[in-house]
Amino acid sequence: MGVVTFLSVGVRFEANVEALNMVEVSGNYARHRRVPYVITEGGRLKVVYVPAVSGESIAHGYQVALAEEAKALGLPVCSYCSIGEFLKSMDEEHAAEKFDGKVPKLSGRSKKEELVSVVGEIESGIVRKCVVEDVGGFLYAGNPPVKRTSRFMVSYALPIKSVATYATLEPQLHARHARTAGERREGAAEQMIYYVETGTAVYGFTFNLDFAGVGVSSYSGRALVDDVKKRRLAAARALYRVLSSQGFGAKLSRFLPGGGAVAMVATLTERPFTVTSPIYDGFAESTRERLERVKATFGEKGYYFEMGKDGLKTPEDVLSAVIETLKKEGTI
Amino acid sequence: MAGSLSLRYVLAEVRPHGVVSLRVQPQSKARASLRYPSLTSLLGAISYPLAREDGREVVAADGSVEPRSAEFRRLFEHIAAEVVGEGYTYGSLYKINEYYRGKALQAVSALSNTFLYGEQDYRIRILYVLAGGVGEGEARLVERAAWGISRLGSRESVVSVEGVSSGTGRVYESDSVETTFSFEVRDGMAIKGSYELIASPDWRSGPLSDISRAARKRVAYPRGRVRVEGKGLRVFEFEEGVAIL
Ligand SMILES: [Zn+2]
Repeated sequence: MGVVTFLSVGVRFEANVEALNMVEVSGNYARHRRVPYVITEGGRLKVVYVPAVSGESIAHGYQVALAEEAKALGLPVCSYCSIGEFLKSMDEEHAAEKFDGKVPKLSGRSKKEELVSVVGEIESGIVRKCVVEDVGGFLYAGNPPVKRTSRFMVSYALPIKSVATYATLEPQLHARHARTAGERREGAAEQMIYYVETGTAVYGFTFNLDFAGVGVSSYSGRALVDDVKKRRLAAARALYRVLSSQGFGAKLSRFLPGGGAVAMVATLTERPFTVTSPIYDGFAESTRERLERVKATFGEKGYYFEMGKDGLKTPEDVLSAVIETLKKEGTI
Repeated sequence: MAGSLSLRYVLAEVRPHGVVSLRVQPQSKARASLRYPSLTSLLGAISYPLAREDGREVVAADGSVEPRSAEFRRLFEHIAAEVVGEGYTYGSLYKINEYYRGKALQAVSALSNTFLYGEQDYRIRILYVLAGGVGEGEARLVERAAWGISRLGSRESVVSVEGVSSGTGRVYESDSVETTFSFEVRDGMAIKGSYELIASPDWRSGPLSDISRAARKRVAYPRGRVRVEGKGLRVFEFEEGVAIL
């Protein structure tokens, strides 16, 4: 049997009066992200529009936490990622600091061997200098273009299906005082009103983290750094932080949602395995049954963690158990 | 049937985690979404867990870099999907004020997004028919990889595999067949029933690094079951269904 390197987590969280993902400001109206949902009601299909939080939004929060955890462990993070601007090494300008200003280029004769070596050099240069781009991937649109697939994936956070009709979106009226002291102009309003759409729902989302690819080249499959385990630890801790403190979403300074995690399931496997989406009822049972089947069929190791079972009372208990198991297994 | 050929298959039942983003190629700012997964998406879905076996996700081809799926093509004789439940595509134009590093650009940018949403029992059954020369060991790897399918299409399209079955099916010719799986529409075919047509990039040939320039095949996705009539249809019959090769 091998080492467990694939983590999948399904989370249900209650969020009351939140503005976690705003998509548009039109005049004085800030609109929440919404998605159509097909639900069954009285045996008939019906489309309802429900609040949602995009995977991109959660991924941003995760990468902010990752940058912080990596730095705390003394690991490299580039200057843009350090301040939460995940432009990644998107072009020569943004990749420059990883190569002391000289990003490797093709000489012009694009021979196969040269291409492989230059592409490999670019990937390895960026991975070495930035843990966020190592774990979160990047797309360098230079010559040659280099793409690194993200080692984590995250779904949209969507209202759970069984109570989707209870999810609400409501514009809230706010007022901001206009400047009146000093010069008082005729007809000028003393207050400026604006609306922020707030959502309320029990959301579910999935987060996968593939430890096997951390610090590893997409081109050769070989490790590019000698601190792979430390990088994996940073990736695991960042997830702990995001899920424990619900550290994602916008407008948290004024619209910190009420609520918190109400259910969580996590699995650790040798090869990719994704928990059943928490938006469906029975997701925990389905995940556990499938995991048992994979373990039995392929003789693989696999661990299952569920909030509310085996003494794991809180989300923190689940995530601590995951990290302890990763340590025991020698993954991190 | 005398002289009929046997081929192995792996069937994965995939459940989207709410959103499947299947972008039409080539991508642009106004990205449209497909309602059904293209054959290249289905190949890509299983390529991720397959490539993970040795960590090599990308391979160099002459003059360009290819996703590893280009290498895995040889494993498959046929790929098809059966979609249970009707998805819902949604697109909206977003007006976004751009703020960038101290400069408030006040610019407005249009970004349309279209996603596929599913009803409560929305599922996709993906059929991978293995090529004749694929051995026991590789077949086993494909079967485990099918359990490991974790995303379909692009970005946040996380999926879980709720079940995998495998076995052997037989290939024979027929002039009439009923199927629930997607199939390539060829001249001379008569299709009875409801289906949606998608121009899918050809997963078998050409570079996969830039499928926007790849040749398109017309692929029909039945809504339920359709009857197809035509001269000498190549049929793959297996325990859970029937597909047209
Ligand atoms: Zn960076």
